[in-house]
Amino acid sequence: MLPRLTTLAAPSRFYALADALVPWFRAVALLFGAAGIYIGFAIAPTDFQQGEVYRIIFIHVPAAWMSMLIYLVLAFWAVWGWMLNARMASMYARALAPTGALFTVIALWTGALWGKPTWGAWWVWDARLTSEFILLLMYLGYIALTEAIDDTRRAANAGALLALVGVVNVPIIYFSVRWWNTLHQGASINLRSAPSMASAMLVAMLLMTIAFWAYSFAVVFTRARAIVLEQEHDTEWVRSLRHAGSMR
Amino acid sequence: MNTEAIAHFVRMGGHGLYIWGAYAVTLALLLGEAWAVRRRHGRALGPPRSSEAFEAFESADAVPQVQR
Repeated sequence: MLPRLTTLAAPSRFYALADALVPWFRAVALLFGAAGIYIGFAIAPTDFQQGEVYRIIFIHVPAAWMSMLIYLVLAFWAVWGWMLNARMASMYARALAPTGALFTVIALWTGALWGKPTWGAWWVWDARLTSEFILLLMYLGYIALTEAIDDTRRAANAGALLALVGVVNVPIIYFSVRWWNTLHQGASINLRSAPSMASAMLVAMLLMTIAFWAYSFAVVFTRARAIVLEQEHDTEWVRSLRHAGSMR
Repeated sequence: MNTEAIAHFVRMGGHGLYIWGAYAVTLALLLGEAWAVRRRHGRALGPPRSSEAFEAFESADAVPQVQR
């Protein structure tokens, strides 16, 4: 039986449903992560140009994809919550922000460790790197703004405006390697042509992408559950839940 | 697998520090975040803390707030 679409809009029902889903996402993340690492290190061949160091790709590209995807999802829920005054949507947005910021940091960090041996520099102010860095600033700005405003609805609305403005940056990151001459290499995968990499490399990267995606769901749902409890702390169902917890 | 093979694997053609540095920090950040959200949820689920009890006491005799 499929839950109705409205199930995820009511904080109390989201809370129960997420409780059931989180262990599955965690299992998928661990399983696919282990498989991705195994294929990435034991089966994928050495790159003919870059040697072994290219193996950073298995976390670098999935992390960069997640950093952009999470931002778009965040902006979607933030604006949805703002337009329809939907509390749960705004809570999803706030739950997504730290995880998105984390993946942005991972993309930048792994990129620096890949850049040093291949380009000879940890960092360059190239269009791809700079726009990804701006994404991190957007996340941090969103988190700071929403945390600084005590009134949850005002915080959600102000955050939604900021998130919406920042959306313009996402296509800039994605297309930067095509629009400008960048030191950063072009995409190895796109929708119009066959991927320019060995199939074991591609499989490892996709497995890691699924692992990061499932990880994000597990962590964001858990954080959203905490936010639900924090924001609904004076409702009857949260009171009884906490009471039952303290009795155990 | 002998020690020579393991050492060869860890060296990663001379780029071991870069590769393992990337993977180690990523793993540490992900585990750290997973731990932090579980802790946050556990705290939110726990019995009300003294600061919350104080807030409840404070607002009890305040002017009732208009429901928005």
